Amino acid sequence: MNKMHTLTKIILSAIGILFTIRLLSQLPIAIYLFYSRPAWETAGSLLLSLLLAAGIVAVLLYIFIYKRESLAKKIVGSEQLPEPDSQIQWLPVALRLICIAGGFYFLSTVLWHTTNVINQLAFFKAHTYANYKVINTYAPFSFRDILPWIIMLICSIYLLCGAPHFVRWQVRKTLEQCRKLDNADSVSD
Amino acid sequence: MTKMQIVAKASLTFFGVSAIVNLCHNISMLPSLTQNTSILRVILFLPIFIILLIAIVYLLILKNDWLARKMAGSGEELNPESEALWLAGSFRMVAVFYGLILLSGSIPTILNVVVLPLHIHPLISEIFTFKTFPKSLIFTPSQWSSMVYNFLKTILAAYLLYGWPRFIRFQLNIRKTKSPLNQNRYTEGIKNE
Repeated sequence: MNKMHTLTKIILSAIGILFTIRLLSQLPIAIYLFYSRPAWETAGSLLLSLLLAAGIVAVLLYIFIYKRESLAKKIVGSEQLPEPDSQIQWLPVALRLICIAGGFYFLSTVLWHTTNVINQLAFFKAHTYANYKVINTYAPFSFRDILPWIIMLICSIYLLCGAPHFVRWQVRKTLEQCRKLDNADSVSD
Repeated sequence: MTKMQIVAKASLTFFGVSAIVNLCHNISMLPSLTQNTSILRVILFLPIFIILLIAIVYLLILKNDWLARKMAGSGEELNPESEALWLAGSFRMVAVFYGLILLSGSIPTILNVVVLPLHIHPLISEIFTFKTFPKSLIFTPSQWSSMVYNFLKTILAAYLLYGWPRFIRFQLNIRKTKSPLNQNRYTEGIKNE
């Protein structure tokens, strides 16, 4: 295992911890909703949010903390890689890690929105049952509202897979840019 | 520059760009504040925003070398070829990362822009048929500012994901002119003249 693997492992752990915190930070909202309007619906939404967050956190911790070694090997490639000092090797690995982090950002945003919609639905139901006058009609399941989140979910899955085409294109563009600069230098010489 | 200095420089640029986006978000919220406060107060706030914006662009994006050197300390200097690759790679990574973050908030705007021709057609026909301006096209100043901010944010996200080519080229050219080899050539040229 060389420096690149160690670095990848550290970054993967950081990604796991960061997004675990980001996911857990949304739970107080569900707790607050239950606290402000105690009812079966808000209790159910709180439980669902807790289960969803706990499930995702468990998956995150398992993949990014316990299984990070095999994941790092998959991301970096072969074990017999040169050290990061070699010019090209580190670039695709770093970009792939960034894409994975971006994918988690997308996924956590989608999950955040999903639990938020569940909480709001439960809150509104509890509101109606409590014989309150509901002024605004709320339809969180209209296609127009859901479409951006579906797109985000697709993007997150692609990014979590390492976004191979995107990373390859970015690396090629970076090298082209540097080569152009070198050519300009040689022409001016 | 050393590797760590380049990483510090890229991080500073990331902080600079995110600070600009946050500042622009605050500026876009100004019209909604004017409803409760006097316009004079808002006008007094604007120069502060502009000064902050200029300071961020100058210190964190354009002239951040001294800060990067202070942050990372000294070390083994890279040869110009490696330096160019490290710079281009670091900046591209920053661009991709921040581009993805911005994209996550810009997907509804992209969808709105895509479906705009479908919405605009009946509105245009309404203008020509009934000679009246549709009420759905009348926006408040706060709505306008938020729309402009979202649109600019989407463009920035797309440009960053494209790889931020002009900025990286600009940074590489600066480095090229600053490299000791070129400076020697320049001083030799002056001596010959």
